[in-house]
Amino acid sequence: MARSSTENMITLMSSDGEEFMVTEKVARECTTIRNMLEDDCVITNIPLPNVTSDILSMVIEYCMEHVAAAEKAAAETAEKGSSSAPAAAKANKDLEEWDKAFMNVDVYTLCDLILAANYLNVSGLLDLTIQTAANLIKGKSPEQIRKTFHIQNDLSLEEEEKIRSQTPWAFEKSE
Amino acid sequence: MAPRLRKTRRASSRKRAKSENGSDYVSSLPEVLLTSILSLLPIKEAARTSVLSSRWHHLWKSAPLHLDDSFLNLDNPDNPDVDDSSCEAAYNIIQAHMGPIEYCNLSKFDDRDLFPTINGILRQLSQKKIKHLSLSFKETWERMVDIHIRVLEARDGNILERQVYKVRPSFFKCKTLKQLDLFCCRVSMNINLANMLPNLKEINLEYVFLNDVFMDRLFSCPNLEKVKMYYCCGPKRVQIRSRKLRELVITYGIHFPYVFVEEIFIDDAPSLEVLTIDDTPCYFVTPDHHITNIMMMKLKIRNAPNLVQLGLYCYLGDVHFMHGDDVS
Repeated sequence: MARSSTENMITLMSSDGEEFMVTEKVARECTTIRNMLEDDCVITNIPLPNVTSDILSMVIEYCMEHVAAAEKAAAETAEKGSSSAPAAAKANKDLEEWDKAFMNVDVYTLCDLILAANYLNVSGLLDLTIQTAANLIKGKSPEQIRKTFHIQNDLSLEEEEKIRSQTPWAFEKSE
Repeated sequence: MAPRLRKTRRASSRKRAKSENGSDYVSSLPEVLLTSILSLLPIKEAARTSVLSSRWHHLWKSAPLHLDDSFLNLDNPDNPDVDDSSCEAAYNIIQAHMGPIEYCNLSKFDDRDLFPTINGILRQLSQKKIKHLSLSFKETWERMVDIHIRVLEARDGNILERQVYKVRPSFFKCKTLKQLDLFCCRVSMNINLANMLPNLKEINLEYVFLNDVFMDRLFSCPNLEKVKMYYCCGPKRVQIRSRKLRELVITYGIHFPYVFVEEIFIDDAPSLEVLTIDDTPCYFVTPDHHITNIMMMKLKIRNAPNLVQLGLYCYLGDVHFMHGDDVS
């Protein structure tokens, strides 16, 4: 899959001063950047003071993977006239698997990714990270959730009891 | 394909050497992000997060609520008061919540003693900016038909009042409601509510007893786009003047032996694209349960310039086009 050599490159600069050169297409996955580019099309260097290099490299990795998947699907459609349903389903599944593996991170990284996806407005990544966080809460007792996310409980025993008594059904055993 | 990324450090940079390790980092996320996490959880799990810390308690009370009573999981086959506890739990959640309430599905009620509580729930929902309400009662269509036949025969004067829940007209003042689904209940109004449901976009009515005033007001909701009515009864004549209405579906069932309307008059519906009237036999049942004749329904269309799909299934009435609309 050859990309045209005339494709614009954009440099993204992380909060700790590291530069990442990406194609405009990848950068456009971030709605925030897309809006900047649409406002001022000669822009080639974008400082992102809210995103560290660790996190920015991951966001770019996500965007590249998703752009590549979309390009592949488009190329297949163009070749065969229409995309075959099983092939499209497999590609979707592959991308889902990739997302799943990509989300194998510690909770701090996950939180940073949520913040970055929100700031850069990458809707797919924001949905993915928020869903991952929700999945980490699912099926756990409050104590386990606190441990998973290192949440500090500032409620007194009495306060906690009071809250529990407001929604007693939430703390009943399911089965 | 050569990666355009100048440097990928992911593999080496998973470990964070910052002081965040061990600190309560997640709780420092902006409220809007934490509430979107909560909104993806089943209600029971979301409620459980309220004891995590004071911040999470606040979040639980303020996260846009998606309440679906089928997730309350209070069902216990040995407990005959499931309805009561489910209704009460729903009431308590809604009352404790600060709003807004995005979505509320109440589907577990059939006990008539609960009607006053349901009134209270709807009042709370309206105050707390409900956007999508789905309210259904556990009834069978046989029972709904039976009730209707009794009404037709005037055998049992106030059976409707006693047996079928009536949505209070005051609920229709709700300014935030966008979608309303009602099953097996009753809506009737005697006064013309001004500014009824100003944001309503979509309404689905199934086995609902309606009256003329309500129908008239419904089509005057300024943002209404979709109306679907299945096996509903009550009004005799429906006149439609609506700027935004795009889709209207009216369906009877073979098992629902009464006439919905005698006339549907599409007076002015410039946005109407899809009109489906599926009136598979609409018989008229006499008091002695004999099907005597097939009622004719009249459909008149005056102005619907964008109508592209007109579906009349087993249609037995008259169709009039006025001013020569093009319908293909």
